Amino acid sequence: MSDKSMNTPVSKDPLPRERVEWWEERCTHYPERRAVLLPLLHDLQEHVGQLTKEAMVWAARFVGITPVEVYGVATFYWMYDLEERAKFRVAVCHNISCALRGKDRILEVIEEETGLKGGHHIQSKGDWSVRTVECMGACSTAPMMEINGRYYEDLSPEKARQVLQDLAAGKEPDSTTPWDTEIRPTTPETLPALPGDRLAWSYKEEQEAERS
Amino acid sequence: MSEAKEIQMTKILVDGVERQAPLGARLIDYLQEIGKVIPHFCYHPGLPVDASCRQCQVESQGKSSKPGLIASCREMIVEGMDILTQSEPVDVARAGVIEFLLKNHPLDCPICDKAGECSLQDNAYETGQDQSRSHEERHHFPKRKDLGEKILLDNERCILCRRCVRFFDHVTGESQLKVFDRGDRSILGTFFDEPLHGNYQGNIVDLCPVGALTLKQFRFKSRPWFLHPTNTICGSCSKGCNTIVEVRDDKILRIRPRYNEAVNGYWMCDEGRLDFDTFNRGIEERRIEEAMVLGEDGNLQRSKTSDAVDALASALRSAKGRHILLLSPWATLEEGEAFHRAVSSLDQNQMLAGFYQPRPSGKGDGLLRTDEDAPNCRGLREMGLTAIDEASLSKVLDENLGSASVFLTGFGLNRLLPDAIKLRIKGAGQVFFHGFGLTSFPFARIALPALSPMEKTGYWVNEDGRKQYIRPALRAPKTIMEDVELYSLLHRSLSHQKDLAGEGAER
Amino acid sequence: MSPAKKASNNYSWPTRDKQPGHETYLFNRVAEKDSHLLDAARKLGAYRVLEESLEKRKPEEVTGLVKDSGLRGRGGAGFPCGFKWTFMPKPEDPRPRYLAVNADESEPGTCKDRVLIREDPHLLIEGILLACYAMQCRGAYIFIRGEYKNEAMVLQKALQDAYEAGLIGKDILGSGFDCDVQLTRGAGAYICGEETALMEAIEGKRGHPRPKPPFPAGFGLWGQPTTVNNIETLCNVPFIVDKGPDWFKSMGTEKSAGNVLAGISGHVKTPGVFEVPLGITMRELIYGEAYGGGILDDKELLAYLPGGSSSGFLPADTLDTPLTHDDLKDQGSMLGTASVIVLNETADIIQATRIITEFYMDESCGQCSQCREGTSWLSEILLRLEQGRGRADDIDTMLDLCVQMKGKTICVLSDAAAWPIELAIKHFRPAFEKAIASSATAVSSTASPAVGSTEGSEEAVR
Repeated sequence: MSDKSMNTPVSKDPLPRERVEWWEERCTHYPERRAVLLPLLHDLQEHVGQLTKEAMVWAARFVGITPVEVYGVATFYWMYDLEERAKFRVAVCHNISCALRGKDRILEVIEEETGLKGGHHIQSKGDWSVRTVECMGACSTAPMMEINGRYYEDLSPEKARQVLQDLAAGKEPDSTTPWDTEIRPTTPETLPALPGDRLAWSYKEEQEAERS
Repeated sequence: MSEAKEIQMTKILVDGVERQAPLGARLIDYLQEIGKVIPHFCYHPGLPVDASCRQCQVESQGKSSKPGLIASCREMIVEGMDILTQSEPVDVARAGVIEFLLKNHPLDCPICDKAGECSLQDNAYETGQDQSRSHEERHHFPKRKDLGEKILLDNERCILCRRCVRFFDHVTGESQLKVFDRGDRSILGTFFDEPLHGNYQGNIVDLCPVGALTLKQFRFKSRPWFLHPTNTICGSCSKGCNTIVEVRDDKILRIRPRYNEAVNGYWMCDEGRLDFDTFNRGIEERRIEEAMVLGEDGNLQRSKTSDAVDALASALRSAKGRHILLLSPWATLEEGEAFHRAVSSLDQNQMLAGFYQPRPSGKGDGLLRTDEDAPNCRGLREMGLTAIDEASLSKVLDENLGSASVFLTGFGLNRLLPDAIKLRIKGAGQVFFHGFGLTSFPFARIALPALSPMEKTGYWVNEDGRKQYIRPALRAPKTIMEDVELYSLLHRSLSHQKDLAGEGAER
Repeated sequence: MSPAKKASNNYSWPTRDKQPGHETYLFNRVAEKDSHLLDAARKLGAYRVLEESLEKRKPEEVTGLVKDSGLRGRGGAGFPCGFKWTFMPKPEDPRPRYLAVNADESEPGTCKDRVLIREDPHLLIEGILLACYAMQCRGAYIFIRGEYKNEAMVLQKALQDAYEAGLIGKDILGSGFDCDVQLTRGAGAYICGEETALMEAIEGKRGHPRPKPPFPAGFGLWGQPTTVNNIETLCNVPFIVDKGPDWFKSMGTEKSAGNVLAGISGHVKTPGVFEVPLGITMRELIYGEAYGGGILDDKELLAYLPGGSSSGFLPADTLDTPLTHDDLKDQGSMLGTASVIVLNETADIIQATRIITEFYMDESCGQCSQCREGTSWLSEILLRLEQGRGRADDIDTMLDLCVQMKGKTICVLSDAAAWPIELAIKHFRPAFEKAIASSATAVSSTASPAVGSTEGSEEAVR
């Protein structure tokens, strides 16, 4: 490809080798490599800490599209961080169910604990970043907040304060959400690869057969 | 689009009138073809359908297609369709889209380059709302964003029709522009504001229905309605893209592609589009506007063109060495014909006459730009002129070092001949030049002015064998004789001198 | 085994001590210990129906059973599921066909699929495989919303366990039927719940809905025939295939058969997700002891949304409306995802409308002019009203904008943004009028000129 941004030097793979291989395997499950893009960006974000320009160029190369397409995708979905991530990323739902159940009081507690006012734009200070987000699907257990991918639901101001203080103190907070300790890697994408011999279809083989 | 496919006609109703329409044709194309005005922004016949602006909606009466408003750019003609292009729901929907688009669009038409040819301006005028109901603050986006050497982007003016996005995605095949973010924050851009690249960027400016993408070269140059358009053909390569050359005050200000499905579709390359300064008088090359002959003082002296042609004829006739008569491949068929006639009266054994065949430039890209840097090689070749390439030219020049008489004729040789050849020409016995500018050949003994392709008429044959007519967009200086006329003058002069010589020999 | 699981369960999905007084099936396994793990789930009967079906039912039979049951999609639109399956091309068609599974549950108020995925993923996988078998799909692609990271992990683990047990992949359970099931986790965009946007997202693109036609059954994932089904819909399938259409129709109403997972949130005493037969009245759902348990703090009911945020506000006098597709449609609302959001008298209807409208503004994909500009315009008006800066023409402008936004765009997000506003003004107009009347800046409807506005023009010059 002649795209200039393709020439942006990517000194090394932003992912460890076994992860790259894992993603290679994933690609064989889809007719187009591009299909792994959304989960791949999650994985990159976890490893690199944010979606850097370099990481996006790498992803573009990996799935065979131009970097600008990756950038278009990365900005469409709110969960991709193009800026540096804080250690604790707090997201508070501000949608209707949580608003009715008192998300404002949760935000007040968060402000007291972190000094950050929740708003639509992410705000950060020190170890913390705070933002308000749309419905996260915990309406019957409203209000809720999500920190680093984990839900804290059915919050009262006291409970919210406890969670924040626990995290700040390096303790594991109590989560009311059923949470299986056995299957808790950092992202769902870090589970081991599916057994290859049980693959129903390998598009890779199919495409190779088509070519020859 | 394939011509071989037989078109089946079917009966449909448009605004209550029964019509025979091509089955399966795109509704918006057909409606426009029969003279209906269907305002639209995102639809463009040369691009895949997006159907996102929702401005082209018409009303379906519910026979054979779902009743209600339908986007005519998405709909294909089916039997028994009943379409209203004007009805209350249609008018309301169209006015609605305009109102939405204008809510945050800056009303900077007075200083917008697109004004006068802006779809949004035109459609807003048609729907005729003189009042906005919005009391909200306009959203602000970046303005004058630099997208590289050629294009400037104004995100505030952008209505997100994504024609430019689709152009890169589907026409050049390499995505460069995309919409980022979503909803009312959607914003067009490149990857981390990298500059655009490639030879087809200019097309996105033509595609842009508003003034969001502007050509740096044309910014604030002229209101489009002051431009005088001429339909002609681009000569930058042998593709022969159909163009519209727009002139104001005898200066080309803009060149745009003209639709021709068989040649260039809706597009043209940036080289043909932007590289026109040469043709604007007195800008780049030192143009010869009057004939000049080497005087006794060793300097070129002004002369009457007919005298200079006579001088050329007698110089050629009396020269002893090899004659090399080289026509530019920018010459039209008519000029080729006249040139051929003129030189045919010279001694064929002593002469190498033909047109210069440039070597493949490597600029061909499989899209429009071809590998041949001149517009009429095929035409001149097919009419029987000898193609003289770089190798044979340098061979004959080397063999006749210091003795050859070289006559270079026609616009374009300055730019086409490689430096090595130019150097060898300098070493020839005598050099006569007929062309646009003397830049490369100040050592010519006779210099004759030639017309530029923007000043003449005639036919070129493109690489596919298509004969296309070129028209003058610019007026030539009065002192310049048309090339065809000059060749016939030369022919007459040469024949006359041949007769004289014949008589003398007999005596 | 997994100590943290269900340790501090103060949730209101059914547990053993809180059984409703009607037949349930969807949630039966949910309350059991370790129901999300393959061994426990199989002991509780998971994959039995699949095994039987692969052995003795033809694909058409499975489709027939689902079609006869009258199961309607549980994702919002309520389209008959079996009927949808029959849109897939005939078996002779050589193209590969796919099932896209919509686990992008993002409608505000809705959190039912989340419970199913997290607590009983094997029921979902069984439903997926049955659907794939019925339609002879070569693969199913699940798209789960990015926020459900925990659920995605549980599901991914379940998928892998099922692969290893020979339940997914080549030659499933020795039947010769091959099917691949893959999980894609999204990254936060409501619009990806729209079926064509979902397919775009699975393909790794921006979630822009595609114009229809072509419909997914003709041109879906990677251009191949595709059916898109919701999680809850698919979870119904094993039971229908097992117990038959007549059993299914014995629950719910004639046109809306079966049980549905109703989420109740907002101002109720016991919010939660409940399995209820369709046709139950809104009153029972909100006030019933087994369900919502009445209004929080014993206040008066102001309004409720019967099926997620886009279903719009209904007033208290509609409480006897049965929870069915048609009855709610008659009220100008819809069943949607059967997610009831309750507002008591302390709530501000204008603020609630503004929150919902801002949601659509945030989540509009930005393709269509009406939706992109309309959702933000409406939010701006509502915010002004809420802040006491209303104008006399605001109600008329909003209603007119709603008309402009309905039925004119590629997908229905634009419509969904307009409905709640229309219903709010229809049922609670006095509140809006009061807000305008008390606005300090309320001015008569003097519009500003469309052309000649100078805002931003100094910026505009060069």
